[in-house]
Amino acid sequence: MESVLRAVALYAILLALFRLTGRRSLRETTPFDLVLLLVIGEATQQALLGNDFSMVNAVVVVVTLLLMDVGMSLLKQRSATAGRLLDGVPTILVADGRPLEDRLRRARLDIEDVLQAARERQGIARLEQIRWAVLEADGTISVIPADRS
Amino acid sequence: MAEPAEIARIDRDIAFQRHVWRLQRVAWLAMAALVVAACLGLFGGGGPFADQDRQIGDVQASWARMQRLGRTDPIRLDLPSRGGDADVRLAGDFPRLWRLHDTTPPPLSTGTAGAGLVLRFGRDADGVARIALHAEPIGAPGPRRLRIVADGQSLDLPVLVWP
Repeated sequence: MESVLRAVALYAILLALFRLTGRRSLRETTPFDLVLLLVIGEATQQALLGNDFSMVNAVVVVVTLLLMDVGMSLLKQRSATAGRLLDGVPTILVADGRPLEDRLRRARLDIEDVLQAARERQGIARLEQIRWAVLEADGTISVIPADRS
Repeated sequence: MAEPAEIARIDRDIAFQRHVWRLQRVAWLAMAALVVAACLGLFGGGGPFADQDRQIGDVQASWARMQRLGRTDPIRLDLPSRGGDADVRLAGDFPRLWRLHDTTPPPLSTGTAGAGLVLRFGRDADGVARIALHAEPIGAPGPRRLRIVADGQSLDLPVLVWP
């Protein structure tokens, strides 16, 4: 019982924290992000398992976490509002080659991030060649070139 | 040039996204406040708000009023000389609420008194018994009382236990 409660509480806390710290934090995983994730995993391990290092406890915790994940995906499938709350929504950052500065600032991005995505994904080098750039819910930046729209 | 339907739909969500950004900024402030509170000791683990000293009768007690489940904190008692050894009686609900790991110095003897546990300690050259009980809170988190009778002096110390 205690293991299940620990897993449920920690899942909810981590979900809320990662959602509230924003998409930008895990947009592209750098080596330091990877180290940070490992450290977070280490820090939460003891809180998840307590002093019970038995196989049964580990299985109960893992099953609870996976079940929570399945539950969340079912919830998102059934409710668009839940999906928007849990995953976020896409945001237009550039429209007709014009950067939307307020949105870029709030999303903790700058125009260089958009241009980098444009170069990597579309081979575009100039802002005027971008019709729309969209920050997706998963933190990636999609670029729609001006001549393809 | 006309805006595709999907782009128009995304743009309609901007009001929602602005709410999310506002909420995120509030959450960052709350996270910063949490870190400051932790540094001050509001969640235990040491710090000015976590540790408390109190003179009760002639007993000097020092304990962590903010504790965490799974963490051991010392309860320090200075018992002035009254002749003979010093007795510390842990109340009947102590074993239910705390797990006593060890004591400094080790007790000369241990025994039971009713539902409680009695520990007998020697005194130093000044006749004072300086005792540290290293105990870990167990059970449900929340407020509780640490009840100890030290050399006949009843101590009823408030403790808040965090999960």
